[in-house]
Amino acid sequence: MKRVLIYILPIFIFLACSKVGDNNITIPASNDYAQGFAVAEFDNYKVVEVRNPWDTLKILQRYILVPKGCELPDKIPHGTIIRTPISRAVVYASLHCGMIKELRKSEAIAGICDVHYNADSTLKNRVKRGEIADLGSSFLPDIEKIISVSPEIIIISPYKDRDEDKISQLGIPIVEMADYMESVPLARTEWLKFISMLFDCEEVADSIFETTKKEYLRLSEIGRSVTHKPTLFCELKTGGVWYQPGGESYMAQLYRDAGIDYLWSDNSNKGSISLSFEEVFSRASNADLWFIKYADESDKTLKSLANEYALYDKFKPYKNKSVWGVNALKVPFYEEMPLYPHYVLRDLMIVAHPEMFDKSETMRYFKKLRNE
Amino acid sequence: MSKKPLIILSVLTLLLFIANLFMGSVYIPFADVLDILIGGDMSNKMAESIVIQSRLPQAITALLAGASLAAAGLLLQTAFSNPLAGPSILGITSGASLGVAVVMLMGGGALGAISGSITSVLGAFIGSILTLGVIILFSMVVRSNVMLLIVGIMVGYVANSAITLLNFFSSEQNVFSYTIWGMGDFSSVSLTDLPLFVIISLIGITLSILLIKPLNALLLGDRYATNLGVNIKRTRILLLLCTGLLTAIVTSYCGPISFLGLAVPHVARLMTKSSNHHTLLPATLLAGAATALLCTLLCSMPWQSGVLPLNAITPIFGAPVIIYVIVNRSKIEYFN
Repeated sequence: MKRVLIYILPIFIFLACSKVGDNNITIPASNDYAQGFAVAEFDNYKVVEVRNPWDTLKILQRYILVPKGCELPDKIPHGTIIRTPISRAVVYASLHCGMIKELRKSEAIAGICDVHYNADSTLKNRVKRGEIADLGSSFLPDIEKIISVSPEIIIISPYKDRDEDKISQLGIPIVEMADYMESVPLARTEWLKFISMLFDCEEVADSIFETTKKEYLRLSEIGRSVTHKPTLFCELKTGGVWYQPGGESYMAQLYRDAGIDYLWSDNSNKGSISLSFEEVFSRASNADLWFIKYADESDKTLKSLANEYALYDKFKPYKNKSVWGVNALKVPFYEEMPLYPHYVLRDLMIVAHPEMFDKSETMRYFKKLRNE
Repeated sequence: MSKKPLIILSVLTLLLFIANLFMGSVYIPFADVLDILIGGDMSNKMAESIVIQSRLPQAITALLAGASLAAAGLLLQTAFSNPLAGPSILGITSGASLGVAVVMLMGGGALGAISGSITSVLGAFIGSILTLGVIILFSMVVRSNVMLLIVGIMVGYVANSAITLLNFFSSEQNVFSYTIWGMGDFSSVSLTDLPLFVIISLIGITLSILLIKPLNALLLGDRYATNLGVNIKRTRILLLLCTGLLTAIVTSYCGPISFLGLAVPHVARLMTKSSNHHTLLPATLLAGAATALLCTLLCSMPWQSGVLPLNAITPIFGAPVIIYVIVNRSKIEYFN
């Protein structure tokens, strides 16, 4: 047995080492905010490393972007080679379709998933006309159709432990956009730069990012410096659980920047925290504000809230009619937020500090819940 | 016939009921809860809302839901002479789930489909009553109990396939709400919904008590029962109606609660060492109530953050009981 081990062990050690070597980070962080990817530019190619959001010492993928006209350089690092600019891409998430549209490269979209949930009507029409392939659900895409549209890349949102074996065997480069794992608002916006490199339109991305950044920083500076910060809690109970955003989550950062005292901001969670009704009630029954994000055909009202759960009317914001809702079926909240967090920030500030804004200012997403 | 197990179970149920009012995920001093319960002047409005409007309806719901599911389980086990029959096996729970799935997933939120809302309760009720109707129709054609059981399981499969399809084509958020509903929850019956829940489940429980005599006769086998003057066909339909009603009302409000209906009758049998329904049914009702109350208590203990879903707790009690019963099947005298 020992003898066998002596022979086999080195093989294992070798395999283990070579694997680790491939996944190590080689490029230092280069972005203003985004932690999830880093770029290094060379003479006639670029290297982009997308870090593993679940193991920040490792990378998910290393991409070597080489312009289509150029010959492949002799000495390039190990990684997935992508020839830019891309002219045919399969895009799983509607969010990334939105990003590509903002970069004015929609014509490069060759196939999309979850058409039903895509808010973009022009894209939907192009699917109807057969110009863009409908690939079904993003969790179980139609592989044959993907092959049939012969894309140059497939842009996906990586999920932890999701098996991408089947599509990775197609030999088509998979671009893993882990933007949704960033918890700082401007960091998510910055991922636009990565997509823009694929389509060779960095200037457009830079200008969008700079505008967003400038406006966001201007507003958040005002928000953070206000002295009176109204207290806030969010969302609704689902079954026996009441999910609140964690204190370090994306939404909590926005609340903080808007000059709002979010009641669970002392929590260190980046995702959401599950609480019981009693816990939420004991901390938030006297809060000033209540924000609810939902997706219903008709807007929620104070009356419909009380019908859902009778105890909602015991909260102070309910009694004072300061419950605010975002109906994601009616406004492109989730579609726009990653690229334009300052729009959301502005809405939040109008709600929390109306005295700072002109009365005529209208809100983009938030609506006060009516009585009925 | 000893009364001792019944007394123990009554005391246990009472204690657990009280514990549910005094303990929860938020600490409220003992004296305060006492004040609130005896209607004393309470300055702490928040504590009052929690105890009266949240803990009290939840404890009453758990009490009745536990009793109902356990009774339904016992009735089905006797009717089918099968120790592994339970409310979920006849497809009634799946029917309720399908009803909720249609409301939550297909409605796409159009019907205000949040778990616990009246539309999803209605959806579950209609779903379970419809599957029950199918089962009763089959019961008129299919003579054998085992075959009927298989029909029930098949109906459940068909319902589940529809649910899978609905889930696959719905949005993330709807799938999420539906999944949470499937984890079970006694807190979704509010003080205003409580009267309806109490009335319907009490009707079901009363009906089950009225069925004690024919149930005892059924234990002797169909032929003996007929000789004793029991109308088998009518009894079978009544049994199905009764279990259907009990399961439907609980599942509509609380979601599919696993294992309670299956395991509790066995606990009652082990405690009473009897298969006479005069003792067994009350013991089952009490044991069901006590188990449900205990599970609720464990779901929201103060030392954990937040609450645990109910179906994460019930199998911990249910599964060992079932395994014990299977292992010792020869030693336990069940159906005679």
